[in-house]
Amino acid sequence: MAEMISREAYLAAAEATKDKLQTTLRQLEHQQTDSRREVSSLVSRTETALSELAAAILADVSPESVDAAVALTGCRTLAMVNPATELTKAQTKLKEQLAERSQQISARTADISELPIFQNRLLLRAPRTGTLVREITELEEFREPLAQVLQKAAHPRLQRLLDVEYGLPSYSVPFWRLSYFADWKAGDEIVAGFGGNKTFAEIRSEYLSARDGVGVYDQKLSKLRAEVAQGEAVEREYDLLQTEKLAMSESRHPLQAQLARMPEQFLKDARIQLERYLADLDLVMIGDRLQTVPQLDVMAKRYFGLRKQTEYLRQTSSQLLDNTRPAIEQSLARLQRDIAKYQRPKYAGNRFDRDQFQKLGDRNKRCLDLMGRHRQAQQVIVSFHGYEHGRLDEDFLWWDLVTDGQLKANYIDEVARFRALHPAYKYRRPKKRPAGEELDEDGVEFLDDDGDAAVAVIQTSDSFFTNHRTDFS
Amino acid sequence: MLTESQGCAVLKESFQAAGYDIHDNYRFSEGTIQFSVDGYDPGTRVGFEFITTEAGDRVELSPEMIGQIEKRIAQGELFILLVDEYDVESEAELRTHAERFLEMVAVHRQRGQQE
Repeated sequence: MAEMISREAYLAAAEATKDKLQTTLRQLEHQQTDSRREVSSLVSRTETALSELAAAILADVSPESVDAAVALTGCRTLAMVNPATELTKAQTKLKEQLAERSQQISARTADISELPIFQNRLLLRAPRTGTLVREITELEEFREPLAQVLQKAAHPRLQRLLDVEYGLPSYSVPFWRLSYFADWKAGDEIVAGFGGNKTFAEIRSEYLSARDGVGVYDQKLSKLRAEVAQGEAVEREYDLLQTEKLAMSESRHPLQAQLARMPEQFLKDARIQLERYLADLDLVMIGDRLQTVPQLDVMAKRYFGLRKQTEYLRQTSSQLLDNTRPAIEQSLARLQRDIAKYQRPKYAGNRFDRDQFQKLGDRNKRCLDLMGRHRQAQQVIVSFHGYEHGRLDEDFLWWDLVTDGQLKANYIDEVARFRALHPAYKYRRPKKRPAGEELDEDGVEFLDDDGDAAVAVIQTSDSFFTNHRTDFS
Repeated sequence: MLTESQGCAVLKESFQAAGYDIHDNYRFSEGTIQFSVDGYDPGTRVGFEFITTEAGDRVELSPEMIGQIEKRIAQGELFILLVDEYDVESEAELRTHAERFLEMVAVHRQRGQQE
C-alpha cells in the first residue's frame, strides 16, 4: 500500500528532488558542451588527416601523378578535368600573354621614341631652360600686374556695378531705391582699394582691360601647360615601360610570378577536389587498392578511423545525452508546477503519495547512469590512436577496435547494422607486439563477445593501452 | 538684420537731423496710394518706410503699390525712402544710406523750387 505523507513532508521532499534534478541538468549541460568541444576537435583532426592523405596521394600535378591518383581513388573529377592537362594549357596561355606583352612594350617604346615631344623633352621641358618652361614663366610675368588689378578690384558687388554701368553717364538706378546707395557704397570701397585717386569710371576701364588681358594670357598659358603635361605623361609612360621591361628581363614581372605560382596553385586546387571526393567516399570501396601502397594505407586508416571516431562520439552524445535531457527537463517543470500549486493554503490538509519521488529518483539515477556511460565512451573514443590495426574492408567493425571490444553500443546505427549482418561475429583483438618480435600470422586474438556485459565497465587490457593514449590513472 | 523699431529709430533720427518734422505711422492717403508710412513730414512730403515682415508691411505694400509710390517719387511729387529689412545689415549702413538719400532729396527739392 502506498505510503501517504503530509503536505509539509511532500513539499520538503519535492524541493530536495528538484535540487537533485537541477544538479543533474547542470551536469548534463556541462557534459554536452564538453562533448561538442571534443567532436569539434575530432573534426579538425579528421580534416588535417584528410589533407595529409590527399597530399600523399597526389604529390604533384605531373600527368603520371594524376593518373596514379585517379587509378588509386577512382576520382572521376580529376580524370575528366585533368589538372596536369589544364596546367599545361594555362601555362601555354600565360606564356603567350607574356610574349605579347613584351612585344607591346617594345612597340610602344619605339613609338614614343619617335615622338617629337619625347625626343625634344629636354629642349622643351628642362627646368628653367626648356622653351616651354621659359615661355610659361614669361607669360606669367606679363600676366601678374594685370592679375593684381583684378585682385584689387575684387568686391562682391563688382560684377553688378559693371552690369549697371555704375560710374558712367548711362547709370540709371533711381536714388530712391536702396540699391542706388549700395552701389554707391561698393563703388567707394573699390575706389579706396586703388588709393582713392581714380574715379570709378577710370578703374572700370582699367579693370576691363586687365580682365581681357588676363583672359588672353590664361588661354595661352593653358595651351602651353597642356603641352607640358602631355610631354610629361609620355615620359612617365616611357619610364614605366622601361621598368616593366627590366622586370621581365629579371623574371620579376607579375605575369612571370603568376606563371611560377601556377603549378602550386593547380596542385592545391586538385588536392581540394581530391579531398572533397575522399570525404564523400567510403574508403572500404578502395581498401584493397590502398593496401598495395602501405604508406597510403596507414594514412587512409588514420583518416578513416578519425571519421569513425567523430561519428561514434556524435551518435553517443546524441543518444546518451541529447535524448535524455527532455525527460529531466519535463520532470523538473512538472515538479516546479506542483510545488507552486500545493503551497497554496487550500491544500494544507491534503495527503500525498511518497512513491512519486521514488519514480523521479529512479529517472534521475537512469540519467546519471547514461551520463556516466557517455563519459566513459567519450574518453575511450577520443583517446584511440591505434589506426594501423584497422582494416578497410566490409567485415571490420571499427567500433570494436576503437573501444577494444569493451563497449556495447547498439544505439550506433553502424554497430547495430554490422551485428545484424554478422550474427556470428566475434571481435578479434590485435595481439600485443612483444618487443623485437614479429606478430603471428594473423596478428589477432579472439575475444569472447559477452553481449550482456555491463556496457559501462571498461576493462583495461594491454591491448587497450596499445591503442589508446589517455592516462586513466 | 535690424528690427522694425531699430530701423525706424535710425531713420527718424537722420531725417530729423536734416530738419524734417517726422510724424510716426502717418496715414498716407492719396488716390489709390493708401498706406501707413513709418515716418513722414506732411509739410515737405518727405518720409521713410522701413519694410519688415514683423510689422506686416509686405501685406500692405504690394509690388503694385510700391510701383505707384515710385512713380510719384520719379515725378517729384513726394520723396519716400523705401528700405527692406533684408537690404541693410547694420545701423551705420542704414544711417549712411539715409543721409545720402536726404542729400539727393535736398538737391531735387532745390531743383524743383528753381523750376
